[in-house]
Amino acid sequence: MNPLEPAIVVDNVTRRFGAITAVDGVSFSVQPGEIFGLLGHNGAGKTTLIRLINGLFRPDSGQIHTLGHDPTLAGDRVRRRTGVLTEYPALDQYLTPAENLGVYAAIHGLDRAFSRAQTVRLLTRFGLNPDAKEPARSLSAGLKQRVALARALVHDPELLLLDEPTSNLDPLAARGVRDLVLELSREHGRTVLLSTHNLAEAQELCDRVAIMWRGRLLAVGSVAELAPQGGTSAVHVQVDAPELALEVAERHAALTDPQLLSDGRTVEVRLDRADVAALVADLVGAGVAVEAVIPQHPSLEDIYVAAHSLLGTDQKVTA
Amino acid sequence: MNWAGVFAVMRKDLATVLRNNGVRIPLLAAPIMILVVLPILLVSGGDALVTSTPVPIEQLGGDAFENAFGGLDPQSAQDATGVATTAGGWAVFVLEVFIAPLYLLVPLIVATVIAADSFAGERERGTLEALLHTPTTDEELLTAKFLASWLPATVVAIGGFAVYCVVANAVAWPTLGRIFFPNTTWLVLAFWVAPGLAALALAVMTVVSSRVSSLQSAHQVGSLLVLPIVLLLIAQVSGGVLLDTQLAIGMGAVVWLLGLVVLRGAGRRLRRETLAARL
Repeated sequence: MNPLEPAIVVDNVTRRFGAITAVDGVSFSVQPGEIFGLLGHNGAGKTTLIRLINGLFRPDSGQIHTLGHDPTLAGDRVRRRTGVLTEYPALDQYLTPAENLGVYAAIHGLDRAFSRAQTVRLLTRFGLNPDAKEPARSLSAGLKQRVALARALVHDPELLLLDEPTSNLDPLAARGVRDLVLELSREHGRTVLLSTHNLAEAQELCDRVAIMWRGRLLAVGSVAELAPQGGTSAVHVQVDAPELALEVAERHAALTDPQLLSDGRTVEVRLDRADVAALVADLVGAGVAVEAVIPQHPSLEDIYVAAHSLLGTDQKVTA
Repeated sequence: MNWAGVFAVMRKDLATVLRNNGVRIPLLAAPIMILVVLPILLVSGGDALVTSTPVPIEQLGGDAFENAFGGLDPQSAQDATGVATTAGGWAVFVLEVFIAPLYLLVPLIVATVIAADSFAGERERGTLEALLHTPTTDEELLTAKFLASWLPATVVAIGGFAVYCVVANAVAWPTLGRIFFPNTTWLVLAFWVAPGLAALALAVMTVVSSRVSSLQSAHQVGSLLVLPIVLLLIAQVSGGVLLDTQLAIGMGAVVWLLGLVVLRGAGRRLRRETLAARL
């Protein structure tokens, strides 16, 4: 693969299952070494998209290129270079964690010595005993998730397709997985496609995100790129009369009600940036002394909410 | 073909079967019941009967035989065994003729239990998706799944036959006083028909398991496979069909042919996309 060529190209892809359109005209690309987030509710089409990218499904229309190959024609070549953590990271229950990794190492053609070294390295990294004799069924959900992630990494894949990688993990283990994802991308140049519901995690890890809704793409870009077009963001307004300010702010707030913060004199309002001046004018007109107006950097949550607010207006947020 | 990958998937499936009591116990229980417990009970029961009614088997018709053996046809017994002495004839009839169709249940049961677990069970446990995301081709996956079921079914069938040889000669020794088993028909059954039946059962179960959504459904459909064997048993006992060497060879040929045809169809149907769509 040309190092300048995108690791993933999804070009106007549609995939239907009977009457249901799981993926509807989706286009985006992922650059080598990038961490790319797929965001969306359940049923948004994220898992179907991962299966399309890895050649488990053929698109009904459109084209996909994964690591320079068409996965519908050369699925085995693609899957040799991808590592997948599925949404439900089921392990072979009667095999030990090391045996689980050993099976996948053998499938990927790793020789025994390298396979053993990888198994020991990865299980140790994830806080598991590589010599444990207990079968996987005796592990907690969090430990199973770690073994499944180690299994996805056993052949040192160039492209990682991770479906909810931290969903069953405790905060410390989730932190460890996030650190690993960052390390794989930043230090080892691996490309990561991360499907998640966790917007804070996506904001922390992802270089760019795609927001999906019922198979459609609502937005693609980095948080910074999407923010100006996100429509709304939070503004903190410090006032001398917070109760009155809340009443005035309600007329300007978009999507969510204004809130009084814990300091007792700051009102947080989510509104269009263009409305900030009008809000301040109304507050002053109502007799409220405005001491400060502090725009907040829009979060991915702001962008996500804004992207969904555009539904029905047939607009797509693009970077 | 990536044989390392094929053997890896095969070993994984075999380990799952061997370590899972839910699969392992039925696999052992059926052969033990059919090939050890049943012949001992039937031959001992026959011995008890002939001790109390010391008459040639051809005279043992009517109500006495009917009451004792639930309708087994004495003429069939004599035709099949060529032995007219009561105790010896009964033992040979039971061990060579009556048990033969039941023996064929062994590869069928083993193959259907493992094959159902192989696809439907793997889907139910959620492990199939991870496997589909690996570079194994559809052909490699089918080969691995086939071998993982066919090898144990054949090993259990032939191993069961070896055990049965010992059991049959042991239980018949008091009346016959010689080693009489196996005959040619049984050798054909064990080394030709049983592996073919296992292959046929696997081919059918591969189609079934890749289309149903649960292990329970796969088992329910798979249980229908024993019906032809039950029909053979009824035909054999009633004298309608006598399972001799020629019939066994012919039956084996038909079974292998059917198995290969169904397996080829299964290979065409078993596509990654079809399996993934049912996850």
